[in-house]
Amino acid sequence: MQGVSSPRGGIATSQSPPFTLPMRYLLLGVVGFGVFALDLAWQSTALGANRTWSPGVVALTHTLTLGSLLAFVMGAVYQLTTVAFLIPIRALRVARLNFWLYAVGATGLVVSMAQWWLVGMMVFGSLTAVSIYLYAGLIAWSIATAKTRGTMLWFVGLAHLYLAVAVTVAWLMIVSLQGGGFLAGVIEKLLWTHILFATGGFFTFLVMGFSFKLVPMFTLAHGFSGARQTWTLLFANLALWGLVAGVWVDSRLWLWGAGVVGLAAFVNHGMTLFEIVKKRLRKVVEVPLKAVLAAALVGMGAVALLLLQLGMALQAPGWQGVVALYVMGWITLSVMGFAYKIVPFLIWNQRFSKNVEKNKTPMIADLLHPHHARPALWGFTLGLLLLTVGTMADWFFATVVACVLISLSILVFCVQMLIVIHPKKVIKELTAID
Amino acid sequence: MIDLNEVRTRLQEVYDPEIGVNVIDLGLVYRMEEAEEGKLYIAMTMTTPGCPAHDNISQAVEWKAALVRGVETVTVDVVWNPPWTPEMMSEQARTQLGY
Repeated sequence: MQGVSSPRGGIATSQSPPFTLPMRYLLLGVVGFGVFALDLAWQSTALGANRTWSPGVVALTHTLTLGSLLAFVMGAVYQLTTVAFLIPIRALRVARLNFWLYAVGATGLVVSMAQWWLVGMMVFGSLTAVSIYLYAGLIAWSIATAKTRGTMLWFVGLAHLYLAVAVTVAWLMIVSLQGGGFLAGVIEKLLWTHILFATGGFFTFLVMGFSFKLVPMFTLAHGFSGARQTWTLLFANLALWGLVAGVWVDSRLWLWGAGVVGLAAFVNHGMTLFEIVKKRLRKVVEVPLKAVLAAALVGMGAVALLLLQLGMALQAPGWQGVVALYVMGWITLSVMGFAYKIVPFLIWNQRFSKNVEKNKTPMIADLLHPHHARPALWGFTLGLLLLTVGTMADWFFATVVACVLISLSILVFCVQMLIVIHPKKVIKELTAID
Repeated sequence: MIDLNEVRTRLQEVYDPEIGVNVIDLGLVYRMEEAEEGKLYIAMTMTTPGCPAHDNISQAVEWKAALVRGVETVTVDVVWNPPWTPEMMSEQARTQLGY
């Protein structure tokens, strides 16, 4: 090599944010998953005895949704948005500072929920709400500049709009509790609206939207049609708004109709994913991606169960079974599946991509082989199916065993993530860069 | 005078970190030429626009090409036209992926 200077002539299409931004959220998500797993095992007997509205179980639910899923998803979105839409994240400094607001707000909110401390729920709930509005605003601002405006952009954009709605409704419920129950007459409707916009709106739209980029990218699929994606978008929106309307007009028929449209959205989404996988170049479908496909099937199953529940006019345990299957089977399993691909890539990019001139740069699979995801993901799926049966049949023993199995599977997932992340190294990296 | 065959051999050491196949066998390198004495130009692509490993792969190509005797500067252009298709892969890459 003779005094090489190498002007980069190529157009830069990589707009990745600094490592610290997604990694902090992902790390918080992994810790959140760990806390959730331990708390789930601890509260398994309360769940088995159907004490699902106790403060401890409300806190447990939000440890999963806020502490694990949303934290993890926010980190992934900061990274994936730049990849999927070829745009940079706007106001990076605000995004970085917002992490601390979220971490303090969400932690305080979950602890306050566990104690049923209304003042704490009001204060920390407000902090969390502000932080989520900021996050959703930053993503909306960033993707507004995207030049390619396909279905995926609509999915991601609407997901963040629905997130803001879900948070607003939750905040109104807390304000009502604190202010003497001025919304007591509609609190149950508000609760369902919150659940629907958070799970059927934000998480569902986001997972569906990013699947259109991630599944082809990881399976190296080419030549598939994107025609069905628009129908999925339409059905998912109709189902969400239909269900919300059904809750407010209190019409079982309306809810049933919206559920059928929701099922159509999932069937369509499943068919889209299977077409992508059919057109893959990599013969072997890796375990994490199999889990993502299984999650779409479970989502379909959860909506079918919702229809059954509505048709047979079943009582509370059935509803808990539907919500648990949807949140854990569709959303959590999808997030865990994608995590096995996203986290090793981020770490590889941070630690090894700079060694490209050396011959011994490891492959991403050397950090955590996708096959190693098997015990965590399949153990989780098995536990989840058992939990659904146990919850719906009001079967104490099955519910407790299922909770313990899910808990162990998530702990295996956390340990594997931490082995890849290497806490000692990552703390050094996070503090060195900022 | 740059030996383009040597550059090609060097670039076979640059792997897509996710797929585990080198950029030459993947068919990512479209064109290599010595525009002026010692100045190497490489036009390449990625398997998908917005590939998260974009920067790493193009930097690795730059580094490896710079190691070849006679190379003074390297310019790597990442282009999207024509888009990459599976037909651009070598037989070896197809076998490796099970395609």
